[in-house]
This record gives sequence, C-alpha cells and structure tokens, in this order.
Amino acid sequence: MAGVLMAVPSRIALLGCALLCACATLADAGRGDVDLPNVFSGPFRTLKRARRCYDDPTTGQQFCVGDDELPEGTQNGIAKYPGLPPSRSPSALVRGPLHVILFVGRGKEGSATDRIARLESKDARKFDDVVDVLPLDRPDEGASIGDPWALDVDGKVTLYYSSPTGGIFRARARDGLVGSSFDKDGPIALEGAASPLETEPARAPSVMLFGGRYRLFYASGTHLFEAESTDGLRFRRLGVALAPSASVDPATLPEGVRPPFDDASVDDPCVDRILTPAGRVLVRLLYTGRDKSGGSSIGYAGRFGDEGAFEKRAGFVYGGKLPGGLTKNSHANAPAVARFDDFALLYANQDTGESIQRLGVAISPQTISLPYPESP
Amino acid sequence: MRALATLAGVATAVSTLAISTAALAGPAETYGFLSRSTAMGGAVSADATDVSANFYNPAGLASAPGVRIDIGYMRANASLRMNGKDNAVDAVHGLVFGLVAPGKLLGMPFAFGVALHLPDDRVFRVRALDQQQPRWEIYDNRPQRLFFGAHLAIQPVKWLEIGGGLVFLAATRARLDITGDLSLSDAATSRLRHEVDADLTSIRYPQLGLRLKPTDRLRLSAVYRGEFQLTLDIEARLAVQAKLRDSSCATTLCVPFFTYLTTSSVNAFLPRQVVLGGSYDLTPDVTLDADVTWIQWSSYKSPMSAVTAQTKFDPPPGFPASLTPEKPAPTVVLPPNFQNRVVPRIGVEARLPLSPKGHSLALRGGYFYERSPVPPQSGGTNFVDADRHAFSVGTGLKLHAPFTEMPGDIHFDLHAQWSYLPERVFTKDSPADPIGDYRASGQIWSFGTTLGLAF
Repeated sequence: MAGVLMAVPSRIALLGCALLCACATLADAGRGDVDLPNVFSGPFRTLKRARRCYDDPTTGQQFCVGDDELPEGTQNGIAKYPGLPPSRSPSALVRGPLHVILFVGRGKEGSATDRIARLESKDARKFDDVVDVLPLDRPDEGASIGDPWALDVDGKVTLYYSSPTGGIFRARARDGLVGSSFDKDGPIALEGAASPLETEPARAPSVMLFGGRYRLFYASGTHLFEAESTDGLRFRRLGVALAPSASVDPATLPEGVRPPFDDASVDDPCVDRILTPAGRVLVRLLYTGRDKSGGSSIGYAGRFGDEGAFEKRAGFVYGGKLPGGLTKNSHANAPAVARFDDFALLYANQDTGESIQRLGVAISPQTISLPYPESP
Repeated sequence: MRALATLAGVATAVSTLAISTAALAGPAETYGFLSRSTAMGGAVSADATDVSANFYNPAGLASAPGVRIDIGYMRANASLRMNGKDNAVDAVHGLVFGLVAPGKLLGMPFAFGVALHLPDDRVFRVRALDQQQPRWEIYDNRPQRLFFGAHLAIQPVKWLEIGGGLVFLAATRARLDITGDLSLSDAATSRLRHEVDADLTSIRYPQLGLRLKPTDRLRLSAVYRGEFQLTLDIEARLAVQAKLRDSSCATTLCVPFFTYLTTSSVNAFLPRQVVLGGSYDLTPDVTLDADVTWIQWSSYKSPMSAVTAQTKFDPPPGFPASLTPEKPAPTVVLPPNFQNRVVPRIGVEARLPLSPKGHSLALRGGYFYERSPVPPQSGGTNFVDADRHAFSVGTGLKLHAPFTEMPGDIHFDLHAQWSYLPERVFTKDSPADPIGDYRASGQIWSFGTTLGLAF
C-alpha cells in the first residue's frame, strides 16, 4: 500500500499544497445581517458627531475614526435649524428619501409657543428652510398654540394643533402638499361623554386616516384618549387609549432594572397605522412618558387592529438617565417620526444643557449609521 | 477462530475511537460532502465506499476497492430573504479533500480514511448576536467552519462493516484583564494595560457506523453521530482608577472602579443524529439509495451570549453623577425550543459503460426534505428558518487506466443542488414587539466538483 501511495504523482501533491496555501487568506467578518425586519419604533439612538482625528506621532499623519451623522455647528443628537425663537413639539412629513418637512410650535424664549412654523430639509438633519405658516390670531385659540400634527388629506397638508384653553383646531393648506400657508377651519368637536380622566381641554393631537375615517389620539390630564370622525372635524369619543404605568418602588426591583418611566403621565401621542408583512393591522403609538421624579422619555405601545387596548413595550425607546441614577430620566418628549424604507428618524424635544430644549434627532434601528454627506 | 477474529476486529474499531480525530458536519451536514454523494441527495449511508464515507458512514470505508484520493471545490450561494429583502447570508465555499486507504489487519479488511473541508474564507466564524436580532440560524453561521475527519473501518465478516471515529475541535476560553488609569474627560489620555489569556480546549463526540450486506444487491446501514458544540467563554476584568482629568490622583478626583464581566455562548451546534439507510441495485448499473435521519434538534443550544456583570464603584461626594456607570441588567437567554425532525433522503445512480476498457459515465439525482426544526418565533427570539426541499443532480466520468503511469481510475464528478425554502410567516404575540411580523423564504444554489484518483 505504501508503495502505491508513493506512486502518487508528486505534481498532484504539489498542486494540492499550492491550492491550500493560496486559499489561506484573511476574510472579512462576513455579513448575513442586512435588511432585517423591524417595526422601526425604537429603541432609538441619537445621531452623533462622532468623527475624531488624531495625529500619529510615528508617521506624522492624521488618522480619523467614526462618522459625523450631523452637520457642523450642531451637537450630539440635535438637528441643525435656527435655534431662536425656540421650536417645540415637531410633527414630520416625509417627501422623499431623507426629504423631511417638520411642523413645530414656535414662540419667544421663555414663553409658550404662539405660532406654527414649517422647517424643510433635504437631508433630514439640516433644516435651513424655515417659515412661520400659522399665526395665533383667533380669539378661541387663547394665548398659545402648538403641538402641531400634519398629515396629507386629498392632496393637501392638513394641520391639527392645540391650545391649552381652546382644545384642538384644524387648518388646511392653500398650496396643496407644500404646506406653507393655511386656512383655519376652527376647533374640532369632541362629542360623546368625556371620561372622568379627561380633566383638561384636549391637547397634542395625532391623527391618522384610513378607510375614509379619521382616528384622533389626544392627551388630556395624565392619559391619552382616542376619537373617530368621518369628516375630520366632528369626532366621537372612543375612550382611554393609554394610561400611565403603575408605580413601583425602585428598592423592590432587581439590580439593573429601571422603574417605569411613565408612572406620572402619558402625553404627546404620535400614531400611525401599517399592515404588517403577515397582513395584520398594527397601530404604532409613540408617546411621552413622565415619571414622578420629573423626568420624561419616549415610550412605544402597539395594537393589532383598529380597536382594543394598546400594549406597552417595557422601558422607554428613547431617553436617558439624569444625574442621580436609575430613578431619574431625561426630559425627552413630544415625539414625531419620519419613516423611510430601512430606518426611522425620531424628532423630539431634547435636553441640551441649556435653559431651553432643542429639536433632537435619533435613529432606529440603532445599528444603522447615517453619515452626513459632508463627513469625509 | 472466526469469532475471535470478529472480536478482535470490533476491539480494533473501538480502539480507533481513542486515537482518531474528526470534526464533522457544519458545511457537510448542510450542503453535502463530495460531488457523488451530494448529487444523490446525501442518501448514501449504505452506499458510500469512497472518501465521502468519512461523513456519511465510516463503515463504508472498509469496502473501498483501493487507495483513493479526492480533491475538489464546492460553493453554496444563498439567497435568503426576509420581507422580500435579501439578507446577504454569506456564501459557503472551500476546498474538499479526502483519502481512503484500505488494507488488512489481522487478516481482516481494514481501511483508514481522512476528509477535509477547508473554507477558503475563514476557518470558522463565531458570532454572538443580540437575542432579538433576526438571523438565519441554520444557514448563516453554522456552515462557516472547518471540517476535518479521520476514521477507521473494519470488515470482521463479509456481510458486516464497522467504522467509527471521534469528533474533535477546539472550544475557546479567554480572559481579558484591563488595568490602569481611565480618564473620564478625555478617553484618549487613558493609560491602560491589557492582558489576554486564551485557551483552546478540545471537545469530542463519537461517530459510529454499521453497514450490512445481506445480499449482493442490498446494503443496509445505521449511523450514529453524537452531539457537538463550540463554546466561547470570555471573562473580562476591568480594574482601573477612574480620573476626572488626565492628571495625577494628587490633583484630580480619582475613584477605584472595578467590573467583572463574563460571557458564554454556543456556536455551530450539531445535534445528535441517527441515520438508517438502504441501497439496492435495481440492475447491475442502476442503484437506488434511501436514508432516514432522526435529528435531535430539541437539544439545540441558543447561540445567545449569557452575560453576567459585577461592578464596584463608590464615587465620593462631588463626583459628577452623570459619569456614574449604570449597572447592567443580567441577560436572560430564552430557550430556542427547537423540535426533533426526521429527514428523508433519496438518491439514484445510473452507470453507463462507455468503452470495453472500463470507462463509464454515471448520471445521478437526489432529493431530501428538511422540515424546519425552528418553532414559531412569537416572542423575544428571532431564529429564522423555513422548510427546505433540496434537489440535486450530478454526473461522474470514470476513466480506467487512462495513462500508462496511471494504472488505476480517474474519477471526475460534478454536482449541482438547488434548495427551495418556501415562504414562512412569523407572527408576534405582542404588538409592541420591536421586530414585528415577518416573512422568510429563499433558495440556495450549490455546486461542486471532485477529482478522484484510485489506485
């Protein structure tokens, strides 16, 4: 047998060795995890200015790591737009890949917002086209308007907004889907018996339109409520949509587990409705959750179908801790979402370390990087 | 004397378990090993007497007609999609090589075989993904590894062949120590020392095969493959002085910070398997093969890393609370709850004589059906998989003594396999699930060629 083995042509053995050696190359880490399913409703990661450059003392050359996901002149997690007067409580419309229009409440620093402004960006992060589109000019609007919600209806941008004293109002664009000037329709009507929990005028509207029917989500007191309409002006109350979570004593929780972030109130609904790949209706609801220590974060709840209770996701989908540890959250609030094919951008009021909040921007899934075009 | 010889043969076979090494499955389990056997749907546990017997049934090595060396190449390209989007699952490709050398031991037919699948990309890949991240659990990571096998087989009596070996591969245990000064205000000025201590420890599982030849036209087989897994255990210890600025502790606030982190994950899990097979010569030139494989998927281990962390950090008054690290919650690894499956396989080979010199051409076909072992993913895990129908065809050219320097045979085999994974819909119990409902489907093409030299 050994003799036969020795008879193997040496060239074949040589060829085998050569092939083995030639293939002993380093490979990349591999893929297999792109374009994965996701409902794009968090957790969200703040967009960052993370590019850092260093001088290599041995070569004298500069090397850089990381990406800037935001333009120059911003800080981590903050979109670029005129900071004054302050803008609050965004609502987002998507007009193309990274083409976003935000409607925001705007007002003098230190006071409530008294107009609605329109901000437009072709890259979803630098909003340099800013114009006031809706002033406070009706007596029933009181001293303040804000919390806009924009949606497209019959080829027009339709704007719902609220006033602390007058409830929810509607306006419709004169220029179709551009949405730079509006005619006011006045306040909407909320009919039917109000819940005892509805202790204040309705505020912070979020509206979706499906099957020729409008579905309104709004805040009042410490809860979120739901109402339905066929014309977008006269709504019938459907009841409570979302309640604050029950309080939990942090001392009773396991290590590393946070107490509820929304045990004081829920506010600022941001709702949309999709058909899942399995063909089920999924209503996605982002909201502001406030805790009893004064912090706030963004939460998510979902519902299969157009009726019934929402189910909350455990923990917030955007926010962070404040100095003081697990029991204190950030002040992120008033979410709005711009949804694209492979990711979603969250716009929300965000702490900056200054006296006022700015419009923050974050992304989901967290694994996606969104380098800013000018980032080399 | 006959009984003594049989006993000696069995003892010899058993003794090989202690000395031979093998690392099987992975790419071979998923895409087949060597062109002839793959073309016949892998239904060859009773019919493989060539190098591929190292994987399908080592007992068949004892029937090898002579020394044979095979070398070839295979490639499998997957187009696996979720929600209609291709997830770019990596192709599996590499060299295949094997040898079988028969002889006599204590008067009994005896054979030694080795087989190798050497990926030309990476020897093996270990991935520990987030528990919720959807992944093609069967096709993404598990086939991305080396395959090496060595077996012995004997034929104590004419109608019985016994073969076996041990699976052997390395599991990893590693320890990472980081000590030094950590500047919280400017990480670039931190001065840290790292120590890494990694061990590769061997793991083994047995593979045994029997092959019976009750008649000249019928062969029966039974194969047992043990359970196999690659573990990756990492300990990390961080013991540093956390400083507010890049300065000595005499001029800035320093706080001792200690954290101990352990992760443990399982990769490339191969469940225990039992194969029963038969091979029947319909005519002298046509062979029909069939296998049934029971796979104990219920013992499947989650590839999720189990992470534990202990932290000690007692900041003094005045230390910025925003820099205080948060204690992470321990990981709860959800059980995969895979289900046991039976995989039927069928294959056929027709051999056409080409010349009186002994040249011949073989035409082959095969099919197998793998019902997915992955249960509905309605909760927090997203192991994605679908049923698999695999159709294969192939051909083989045998040239007998084509050159004067080559008194034996040259075998040139080709195969192609198409796997169809019909769409499967995954729905979630919770409407708050971050991944949501999804659809999964796909197809996989694999090709290969083998050049064999028989002496």
